[in-house]
Amino acid sequence: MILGDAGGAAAAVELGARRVTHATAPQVWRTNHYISDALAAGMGIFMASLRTICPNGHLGFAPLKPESFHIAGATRPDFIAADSGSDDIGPVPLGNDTCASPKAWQEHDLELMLLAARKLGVPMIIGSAGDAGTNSRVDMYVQMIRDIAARHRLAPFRLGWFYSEVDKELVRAKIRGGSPITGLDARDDLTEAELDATSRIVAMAGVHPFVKLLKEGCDVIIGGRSSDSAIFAAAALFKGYPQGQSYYLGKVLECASICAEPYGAKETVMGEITADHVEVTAMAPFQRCTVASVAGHAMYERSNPFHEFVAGGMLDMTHCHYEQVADKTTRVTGMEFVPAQDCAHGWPIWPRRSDPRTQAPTRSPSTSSFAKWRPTIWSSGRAR
Amino acid sequence: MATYDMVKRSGALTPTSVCALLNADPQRLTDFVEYDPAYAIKFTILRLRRSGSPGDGDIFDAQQYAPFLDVEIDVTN
Repeated sequence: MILGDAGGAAAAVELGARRVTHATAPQVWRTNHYISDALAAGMGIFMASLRTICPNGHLGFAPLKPESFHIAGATRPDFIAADSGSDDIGPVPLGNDTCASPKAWQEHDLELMLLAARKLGVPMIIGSAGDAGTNSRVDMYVQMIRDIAARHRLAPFRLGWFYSEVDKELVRAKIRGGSPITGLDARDDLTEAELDATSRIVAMAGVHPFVKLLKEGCDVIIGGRSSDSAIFAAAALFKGYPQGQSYYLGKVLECASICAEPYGAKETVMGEITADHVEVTAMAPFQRCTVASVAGHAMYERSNPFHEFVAGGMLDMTHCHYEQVADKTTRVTGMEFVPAQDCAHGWPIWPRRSDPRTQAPTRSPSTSSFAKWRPTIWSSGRAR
Repeated sequence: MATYDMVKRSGALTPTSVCALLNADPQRLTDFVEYDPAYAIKFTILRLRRSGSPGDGDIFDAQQYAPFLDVEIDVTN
């Protein structure tokens, strides 16, 4: 644990500088701040429900809408979180180590979120810093947080971050050591020729580095490139909620008001998780989270509305049930999480679809298990 | 909702018909879902080249819908 000031720029900020390279072998850290889940439960820290707000589905790409964010803040949520990355920007920023978003909008959102989080005394979590989530983008967001804290003379808090870039030679050693870098869907495995032609490798974090930093007692976390849902799921898992509900919470919150209607981006939504369900509520006065808007969001950014793959497993929404429980709130039950089956050397092995080039689509009943992963034909929200 | 039910009942959109409309080899179709909770039909077809790679003209694959504008739905069922 590195503790120090912020080089004079933000003396108020207590720095818990923590480099988490999730693509390397898991590291064990032991500090005085470590509170195990079991200990936390014994201390009665577990809450019957937990509420997280998300003000922006791609922090920096366009500014969050302050009105709904402040409405959400007034409800005293337990976490404030947002994803700053997106596939929308294409691969160039990843390779070139650049942002796609203007600095002014990044600072706008980070400032509003930091001020609200410190006022409430709740953690703030950002994933995929600066669009690409490369190491330099993480460092840039960390500096922005320090600068904002100094500008507002915020009381000391603990700031943590992790990096997502992976060394090319580590990947080469894996390939040569008989541990292939498996292609997703029908893509081929990574070859050394392609590795040689690669300028930068930016891995995708699951919940693990976020949970570690929360256990370290961090008040503000800046993450390198991350799975969208992991940013939010980590907070719920850290507080002891089940995997299925936790990953669903992340899945439904990650794009903020995209899960609400009528359409209007960059408005805040709130997700409340219990051991049984997730309730999602629109915070903007003109929006509602309806069965159709929340269920519809499940179709977004994935091959089908049932399966969300993250590092470490798959969120299975095949048996999700949606219910309008209040004017602006939809409750979701029935989600499940299927851990990745093969976890050799601590590296989750992603499920691989049968290559559709060699296997015709089928109308036969399909299951959601990895072993039988194949082209899928569904109707009416479940396998037939 | 009524529109969705009409389209679904008509059978105008099937794995076979969407591949034919897009001139895509049916072997590339990985998913086809009639998703009642959202009143939507979703299907996924594997790309011919990676998103954002040289020569890719549609990073989001959001410009593939034009052939569907001409689909006729039989609403007499």
